[in-house]
Amino acid sequence: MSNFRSFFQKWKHRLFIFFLVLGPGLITAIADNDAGGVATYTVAAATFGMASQLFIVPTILLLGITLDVGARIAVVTRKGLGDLIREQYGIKISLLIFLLYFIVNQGVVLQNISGLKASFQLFDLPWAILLTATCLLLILFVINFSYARIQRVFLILVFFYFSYVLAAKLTNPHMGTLVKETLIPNVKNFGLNYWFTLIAVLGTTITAWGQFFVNSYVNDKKLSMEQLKYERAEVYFGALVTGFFSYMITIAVASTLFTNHITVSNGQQAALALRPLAGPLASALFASGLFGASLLGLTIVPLATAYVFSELFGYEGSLDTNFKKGRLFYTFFSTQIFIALIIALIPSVSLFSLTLYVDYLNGALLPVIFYFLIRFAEDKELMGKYVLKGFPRLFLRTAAVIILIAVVLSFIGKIFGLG
Amino acid sequence: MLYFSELQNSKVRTKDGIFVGKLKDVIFRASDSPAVTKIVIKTETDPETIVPIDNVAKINGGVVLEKSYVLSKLKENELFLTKNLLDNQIIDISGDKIVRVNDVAIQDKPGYSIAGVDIGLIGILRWFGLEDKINKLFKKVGITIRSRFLSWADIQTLELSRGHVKIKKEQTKLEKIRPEDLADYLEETTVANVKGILKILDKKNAAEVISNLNHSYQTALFKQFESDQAAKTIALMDPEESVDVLLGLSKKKREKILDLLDDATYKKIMYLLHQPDTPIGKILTTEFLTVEPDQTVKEVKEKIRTQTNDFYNLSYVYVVNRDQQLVGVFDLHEFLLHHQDAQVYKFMTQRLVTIHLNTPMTVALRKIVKYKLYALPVVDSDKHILGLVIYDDIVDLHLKGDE
Repeated sequence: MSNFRSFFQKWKHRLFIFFLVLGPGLITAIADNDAGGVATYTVAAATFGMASQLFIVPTILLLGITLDVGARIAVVTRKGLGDLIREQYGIKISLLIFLLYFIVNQGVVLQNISGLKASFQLFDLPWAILLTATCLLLILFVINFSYARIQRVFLILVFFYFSYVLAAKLTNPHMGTLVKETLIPNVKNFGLNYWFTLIAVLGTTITAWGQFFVNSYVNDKKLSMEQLKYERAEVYFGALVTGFFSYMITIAVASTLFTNHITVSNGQQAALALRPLAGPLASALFASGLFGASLLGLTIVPLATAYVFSELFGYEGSLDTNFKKGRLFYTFFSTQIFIALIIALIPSVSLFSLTLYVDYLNGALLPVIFYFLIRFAEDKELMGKYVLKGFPRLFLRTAAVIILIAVVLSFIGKIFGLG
Repeated sequence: MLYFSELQNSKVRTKDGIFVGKLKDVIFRASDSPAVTKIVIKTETDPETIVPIDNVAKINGGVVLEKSYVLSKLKENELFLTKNLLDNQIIDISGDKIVRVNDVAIQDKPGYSIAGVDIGLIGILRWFGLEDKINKLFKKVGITIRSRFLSWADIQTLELSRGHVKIKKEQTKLEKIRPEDLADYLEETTVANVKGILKILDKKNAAEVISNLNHSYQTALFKQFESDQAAKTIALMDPEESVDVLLGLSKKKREKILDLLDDATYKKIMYLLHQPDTPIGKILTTEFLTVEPDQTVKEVKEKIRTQTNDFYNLSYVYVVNRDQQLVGVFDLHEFLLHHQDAQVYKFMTQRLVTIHLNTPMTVALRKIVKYKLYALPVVDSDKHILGLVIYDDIVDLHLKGDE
């Protein structure tokens, strides 16, 4: 045990120094694997095993490219995506985007709060009290703490994802076989449903709020032009780490549930099903992973809403402001959490069907956001010498087209009950 | 006063009714006196046709161009309203973000200029044409949404050209203004703007500018002037104008200024001041109607119906604020042009031509002829309206005097 502790302490220390330099890209990318993401990976892995990660490399690339462009626009223009939309497209478009965005994010917050609820239930804890207490603490914490301190807590939450790594390790995987299974899928046995699942896995990683959040968050960190190169590297690093975690989740599930032909419909069921197969430790690790992912999502997504509100309507919106100055910023943050909390406390509401609609809306919003992203990144007046051209431009446009196709396909898939 | 939200996308025609395009943007000079210099029209062939404001005959209720209008280009020190002002972030002195520019108010009588920016919720609602509906809804619950207005005098123009809308005061001092106070507020700040221009102009031009201002601006300006500056300006002005200005000042200040004048001017002015004149009070009529700035056309119509049936004549309706001070006026033609839910403050003229009880009759006559008015309101030194003098009576009296 002391061995374990010293090992943990040492790593914690190293990573702390490491993370003090890192930030926006990593946090945004990883938070894309929130409760909804974890659920999607789990369900996909239980149904199709390692083959559900066939698109892992393009997914990491796509996530990296899109977040990179966002970070670049933020550092160069010193404005968030919301600022730019308001200034270039006026109040009418801004209000429309905000309404859609608010609803989508509210859904995502709901997904995360139900993830949190599930993780409390898995540990047999009094979830109603804990859920309320967690939400209240979260709000107090975000209002009172500065950017630097809040980011540190985000980074601690990232550690919860390592429980998936440990869970994967417990299953004693053989890496060579796994990689082979991933890249050469046994397609013949799967059929159409398989391809739709792949698209769902890709789609869950790239989110509407993530695109806004990376802009705002990079801005709030007040990075300089010299740090741009570094920030871009950090974004890709974040995408890589995100891919790594989703791969670990898949390993843990594939080598247990998939090999035993147990299909599940959400993360909570997966953790329960793991108990007889991989022992209570694996199940607990899964539950704590879900806890971390949910908590991270529950903090970051309402924050993403508050940032965009402040940007579109011009109010002070920074984690470094006090409550008096950033009243509206913090109000929007708290409102989304409260709404979600109230819904989650009603036992009869089926969160599962609600979150399905959220995915639809998120998909509908994504192409719109990519349109703006491309327009701003290629605007010479805004970007000056950092304007997107040549290969990167082609990359982003291709990425947008791929995401658009994925969105449309998953729509069709959902209508026909596939994926 | 007109809001840009009501102006954008309005149809642009020439005087002979030929459709040109839709109004897209407005160009203004980035200075302390933000005159509107050009308008941008989106036509079928050119998305950015720029026409100088001199070629624009009218902007209120549909833009009308002169028959032969010329095209123009953006000059240095000129800014686009939508690009450089509308929707932009406003920051206060300490660099804090406050709000965005939700709408822009334009002084819509000739000599068009930017009056200020709307930063409130009403400014957003106006874009959707919802401001009256929502306001009514809130009024039922007992809440009045106040329009939050930031006058041009509070904006740092230099920063504007650099792409920032920065204000001169702290956030906490930002005033929330009701429509009826807004009119008043504008006048005050415009005086500050006028002072700004006067600094740039040479003295002779400055005096001319002052002569062309309406009485309340003139008086306000002279109240701010030092006595010797006032005397120098008076000397350059039309004697009949200057007499009226002097009469608007306190006796003490007036005598101080008179002492500083050169002999010729002094004699002329003293002559006018001491002319055995029939006092204005003799021909004053109290048949006038006042309304409040936030009353609607519908309410005013009702007031006209019930309160003016025994009037000899009604040409103008005067607008007073809560302190009963005269803040605006509109004629019946203007009044009939507006929708019955429109509020008075939006179409009234704030450029008032007024006289005092001690204004010489010759000055009153000159004014009524010069501004082609049917009646002049008579106000006291506190801008309370006392009554009217009517064209007929002045002319009558004048003719009798000649006999």
